[in-house]
Amino acid sequence: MARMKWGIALRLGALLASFSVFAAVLAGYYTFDSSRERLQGRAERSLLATTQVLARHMQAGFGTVARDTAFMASVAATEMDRGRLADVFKASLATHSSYQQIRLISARDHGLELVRIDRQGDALVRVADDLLQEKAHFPFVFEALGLPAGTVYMSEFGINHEDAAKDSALPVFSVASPVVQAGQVRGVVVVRVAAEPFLRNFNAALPTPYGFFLSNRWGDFLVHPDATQTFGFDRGQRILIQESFAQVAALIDGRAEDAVLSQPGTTDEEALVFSFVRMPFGSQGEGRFMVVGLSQPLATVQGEVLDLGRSILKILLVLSVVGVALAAGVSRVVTQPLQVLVKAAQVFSRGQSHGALPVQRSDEVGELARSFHDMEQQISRQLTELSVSRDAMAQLAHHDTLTGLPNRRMFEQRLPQVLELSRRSGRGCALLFVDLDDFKSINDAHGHAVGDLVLQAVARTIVGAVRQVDAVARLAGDEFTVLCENVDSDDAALQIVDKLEHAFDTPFDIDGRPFPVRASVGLSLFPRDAHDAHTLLASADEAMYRVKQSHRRRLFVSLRR
Amino acid sequence: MAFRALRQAADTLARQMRCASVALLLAMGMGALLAPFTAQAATVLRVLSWPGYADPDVVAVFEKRHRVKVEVTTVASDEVLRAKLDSPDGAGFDLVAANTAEISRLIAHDKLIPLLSGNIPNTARQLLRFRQLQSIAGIHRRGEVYAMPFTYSEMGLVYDRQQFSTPPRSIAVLWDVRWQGKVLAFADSSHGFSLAAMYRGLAPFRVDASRFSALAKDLVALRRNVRSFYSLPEESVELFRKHKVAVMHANYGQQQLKQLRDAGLDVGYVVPKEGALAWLDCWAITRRSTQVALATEWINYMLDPAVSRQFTRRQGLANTLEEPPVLAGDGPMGPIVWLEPVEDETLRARLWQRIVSGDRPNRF
Repeated sequence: MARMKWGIALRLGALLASFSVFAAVLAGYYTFDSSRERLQGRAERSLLATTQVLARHMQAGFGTVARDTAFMASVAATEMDRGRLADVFKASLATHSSYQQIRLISARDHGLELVRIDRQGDALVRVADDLLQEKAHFPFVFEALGLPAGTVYMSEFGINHEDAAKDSALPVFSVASPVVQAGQVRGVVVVRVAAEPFLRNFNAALPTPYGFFLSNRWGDFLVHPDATQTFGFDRGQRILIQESFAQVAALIDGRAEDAVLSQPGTTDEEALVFSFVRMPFGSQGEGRFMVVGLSQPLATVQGEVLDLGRSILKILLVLSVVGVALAAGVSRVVTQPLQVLVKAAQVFSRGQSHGALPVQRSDEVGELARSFHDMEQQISRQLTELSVSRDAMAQLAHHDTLTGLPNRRMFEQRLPQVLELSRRSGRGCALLFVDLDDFKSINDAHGHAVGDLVLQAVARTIVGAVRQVDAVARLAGDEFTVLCENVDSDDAALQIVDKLEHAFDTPFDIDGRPFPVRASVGLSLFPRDAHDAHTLLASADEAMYRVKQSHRRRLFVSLRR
Repeated sequence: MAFRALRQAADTLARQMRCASVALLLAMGMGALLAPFTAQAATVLRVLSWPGYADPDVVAVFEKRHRVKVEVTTVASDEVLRAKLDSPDGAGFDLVAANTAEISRLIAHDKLIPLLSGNIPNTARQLLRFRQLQSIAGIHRRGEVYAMPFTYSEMGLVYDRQQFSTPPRSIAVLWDVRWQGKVLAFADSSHGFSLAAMYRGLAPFRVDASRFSALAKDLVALRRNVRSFYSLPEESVELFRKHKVAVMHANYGQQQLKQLRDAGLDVGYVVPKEGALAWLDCWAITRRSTQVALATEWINYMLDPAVSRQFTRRQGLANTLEEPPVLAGDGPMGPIVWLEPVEDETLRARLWQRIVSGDRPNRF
């Protein structure tokens, strides 16, 4: 029973607990899954946003150089003294470490340099007039000459080959602005900017895991974490961004403004996320652009995802514990009234009374309790009826229906018990055997109905003649016995016999008529005459028989008289 | 008895299966261990060539056919080609596509190995003048051939048909001040001086030391006449269109002509009367190569009609199997001069750097 009870509670609890844990795990997994995507998406968007911000910063940086150049071009347009112009150039070079060279180039004489200040190490050197060169065939001259005042031309990024010295062959770009005097383009001011220190202004702020990429509008790498990939075209090689990152081809072709992609890791390289942005470059109408890119290890993106996973796991554990506790509680709430009912059933089955059942509840448990209660009442009722009928049956089995006296069976059960008691107490007892004389003739003469009335009257007479404690029984027909306990002497026994015999002296009143009945009473004493029930009865019977014989003799004598 | 036999059979089978699975697991483990090594040990054919000579799809077919990896490095100038071949770093190259002048220089420096044309059956399909290898200067030495012609291009003049009613006849057009600012020239020291020498009627590859000053001044004059010097074909297309260029010395020959026409420009092409320098690019196998047989297969593959025709179709460059149709109409006027090594490369380069940087004539 206990195991059964545990079974339901445990099973219900386990079911509920597993439901809650399952629901928690499911919810956790979906949260993790969608959050991971969202987080990765967010990381990609933030990388893209960073790239866009970087591109705007770079544009602003180009804008600054452009403004400087345009300003110096405006100065060159008004300043006739080349010495003073050289000082202006020097001042600008001094304040901008990335500026490598500033010069004024004539629109005439095949683009002859008029003023040229070179940064040579830490020194700013004005190049001697006879060393000045003709630059008209460079795009930064012929393109800028065609521009209105105050605007600039940005050259493509390239390796500087204008100087013979090998160590000056560095990545540069030039910014040129026309010098306009009285509506006439007199020349251009060209600022040559060293690409590396210029770009350092922007990408130096980036944390180390970021990789920085820059390509020109054909896709040639200008900046790449691997420096050997840059300016391939200057070495007769094309190392193109769209060949490394196929999706960037859309940026090069102008089909897209930005691209985000990820590259799975290899044994040598970690997995990276890349974002590329098409950055307008040069003046608006030209449609020139550069591609700016950033890379970030996927691990840093996924690190956040793993953190998320861990916190979700924690929440999941807490939820599961709460779920298990709740399940235990719920299973208790459900099984407790059941247990009350079970206990009540157990107690009831032992025939004991039990505590109150939850009959007042309006739910299924209440219904069950009410049903149980009804059933219990019904069973009690039936049990009572059963015991009544059993009592009646017992009465029938042990009593004589005619006289209401105990019958032979009961007498035979009772006799050994009384003898045993007598043996223990040491006090004797007497058995009287009463038999009616000539009862057969009464039956024959007056009929069985009268015979029965006689027998009933005899029973009443015997019961009335003996002591209250003495047990009267009808063994069969007209045979009666009286068992008298605590009869220690013959005298006491004879007194009882005497009293009984006298009770028959008065005729019986049967249907208002006097009806004389004689009885023979045999007596045997325990333990004087017998030591067991059977012998005692036989002895009493024998005594009765002798008495009956003497009665007959007496009758015979009186008849002869 | 029958039951016991069955059990024995089952036991044997189980034992065999265990052995087999152990063997399988071992094999898988070994495979996993060996995989990186085999991947690293995979044959790699290193090719040094020019843009468009070995497009990825063409390479892929060869890779698949021979189960090898082909690494193609492209160069855009002879200087870079030379520098790459001279560099002792890295694994070097198995094959090089270079013009006859470069091949000649490489033979002289003993950087190539002789070819056995019998191993390159596709040579039988080549035009007669490319099969007479002994008549092509620079690719043979002591009766042995070191390179196989693949493609060639004469450096003719591209001109704007809108601006020229008749095709220009002489390279002097590049110096013609009438076209000042509407001329494009190629940024290359060697070709620059050869061009100037032809302009002056001199032998292009054997310039006398005393002539350099004058030629340098000529090149300064050319510089003063050009809009710009270009390096990449795309660059020339942009400049041509944007600055309404009239005439261009087309270093990339018909390849460039194709690009300009693809860009929608109405241009003509001509070989001037002084003749046109022409490069004849040949495939050669370097002495450093450790896989000559595979390299020979590559040369044969490049001369395959399908590959050669596709190459012409895509790049606008002539192949050695068929006569090019491009020159029809305008027709070549002057001779085609196969490139040869020049007398002093360093001197030309040094002078050229100063010319292009803008030194004035009085400094030469």
